[in-house]
Amino acid sequence: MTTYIRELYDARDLLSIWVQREIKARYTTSTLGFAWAVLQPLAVLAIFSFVFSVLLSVPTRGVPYPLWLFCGLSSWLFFNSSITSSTNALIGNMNLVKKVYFPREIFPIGALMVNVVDFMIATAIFVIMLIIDPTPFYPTLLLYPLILAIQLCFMMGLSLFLSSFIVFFRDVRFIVPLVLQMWMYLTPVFYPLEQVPPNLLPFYMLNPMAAILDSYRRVALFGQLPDWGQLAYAAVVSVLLLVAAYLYFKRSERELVDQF
Amino acid sequence: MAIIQFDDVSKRYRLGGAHQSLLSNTRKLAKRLMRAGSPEDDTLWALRNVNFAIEPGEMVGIIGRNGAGKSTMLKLLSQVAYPTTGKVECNGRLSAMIELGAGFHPDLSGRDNIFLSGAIQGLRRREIERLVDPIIEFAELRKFIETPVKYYSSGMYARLGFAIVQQIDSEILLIDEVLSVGDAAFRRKCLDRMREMHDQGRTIILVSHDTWSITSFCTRAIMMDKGRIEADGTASDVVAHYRQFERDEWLEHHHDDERPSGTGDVRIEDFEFLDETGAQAAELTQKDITIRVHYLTNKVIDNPVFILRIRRMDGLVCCNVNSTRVPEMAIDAIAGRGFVEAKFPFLPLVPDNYTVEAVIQHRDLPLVYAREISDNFRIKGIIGNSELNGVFNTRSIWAVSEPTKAMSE
Repeated sequence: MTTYIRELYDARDLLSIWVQREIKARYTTSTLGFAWAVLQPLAVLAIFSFVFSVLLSVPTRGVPYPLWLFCGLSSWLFFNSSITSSTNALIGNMNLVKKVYFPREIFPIGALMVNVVDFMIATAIFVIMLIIDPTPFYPTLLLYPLILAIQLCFMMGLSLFLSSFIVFFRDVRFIVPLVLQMWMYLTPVFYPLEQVPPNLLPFYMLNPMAAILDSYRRVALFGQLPDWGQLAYAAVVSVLLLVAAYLYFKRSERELVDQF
Repeated sequence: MAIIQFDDVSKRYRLGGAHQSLLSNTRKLAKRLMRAGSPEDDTLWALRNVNFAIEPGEMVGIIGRNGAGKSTMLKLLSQVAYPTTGKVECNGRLSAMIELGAGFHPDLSGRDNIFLSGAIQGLRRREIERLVDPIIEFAELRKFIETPVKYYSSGMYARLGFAIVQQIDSEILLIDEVLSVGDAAFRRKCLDRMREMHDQGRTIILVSHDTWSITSFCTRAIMMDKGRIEADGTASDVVAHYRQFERDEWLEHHHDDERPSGTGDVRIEDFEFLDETGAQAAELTQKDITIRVHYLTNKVIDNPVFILRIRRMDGLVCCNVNSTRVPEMAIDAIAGRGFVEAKFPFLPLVPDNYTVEAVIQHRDLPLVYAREISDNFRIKGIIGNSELNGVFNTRSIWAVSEPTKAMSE
């Protein structure tokens, strides 16, 4: 494991150049360029706000629904687009994988980091919303990076696993979008955790993203501490997944090329 | 100590690997359980018991037809794939120029792609910053370096690709098939640079199915066939063997659908390709090409006609000329040693490698005296230039109707 990490560390320049390339290529080819990184989350925010606050009026304990929604939505969009793009990161770059050796995790990690940029823009929008809204900046916001770190671990683990697994089982390409869609409805993105019936809650909380999204809202919007038990569970799952996925990734790395 | 060593290396591929799905896997598993048959039947040995060692400073060419195992060997050399059995040892930093601009991003500028490509080859950002200018200089792309590479011609791609690799300070340089692209001047520059690198003591491995670049560059060659080493020796010996091998194969394959390869009374001994000055050359412009065929008969051959078929590497007959109705060629017989030649004032074939198939047959009877295929010759120019695809190019005179009139009506 340490040799893997050292190898990855040695390739850090490649990683950063790769990420730059992806970001540049992504935004220079469209007319609106970086504006899309702002427009996209705002559009999703607008339509979901309309559906869930005007049509369905989801209770949010006094916080304006758009602000409440965006607090979780931005993280979910980050999760969703990262998993989608990193799943295809290896198979999409097979002509390179076949030709030159360098640590292959560059691809999924790179794909994830590209999405970090979008997430940072979304976070900036969120901060602006917080400034406009009378909701104060609670000191619990300091816990935000911790929750984000857990989410990153979880995403990284999933990315590493899926990007490699898809090479061997191409069906994953169809399964991932489907699962992500169902997953969104089983995560408190549009509705608060309190609406989940208590008898179902133990099962519901098996999903680490549930604790992560709930924690974001607690610390950012209500000045509460996270539910430490639930968050600790999410953290343990995330770290274990990351380690297992990384080992799996490195082990299957040798056979990747032969699948093409 | 050898810098590269293949120790009884075999590589097995599972067939159909590219289309694996849960369904096909389950089906395969079920099939296997049902028959309890050997799992061997859907595998392919791309390399079988390959042994060789390359000493530091050697210039080695690897030739073989498609599917001979060349690309598998490349993958093992560059540590992209691992052998199924045996051991591949590589005692030095290796840089590879494989496939035109692998890793180039079409939407990014040449400069951005230098960074990307350099980093993929294992360079640090700081190293690349230092090398950017020499690379641009070598590639002669200063004017276009901020242009997205999707607007580059394939020749420009190749130049940039080679320019990057030649700057990397590695002990081993792998070059795959790339020198067939690019104009003659740049190719020469690449070869010169490779010789220079060789003089600096670097080991160079050139993979190609173009015998021309192997003989003009390498001292040693290894010929692969069906996953095994078919020949290993000096470049000229191995290339000669390869050509003979190709001819035999070709004749064997075209046996059924065409007439037999000759009565044995005439042998076509040699082909000569002459350029506009009458000098022999393996590379020709489209103007004033002469193809000369030397023959030797062991008896008097009556009423011969000569046919020349210029074939592209994939076997397509691009041009077929026949002496039947040529007044000067209305000869009654040939005997002994001699030659026949055909001059093409203008042969507008697109730049590529070609061979000539010469046939000597009876004017009226279905009697083929001799049939032979030449070595490659090459039409000068940028091979793979997308503006020049097809079989031949020719002058075209264009016109357009009043382009905006139709709209205003």
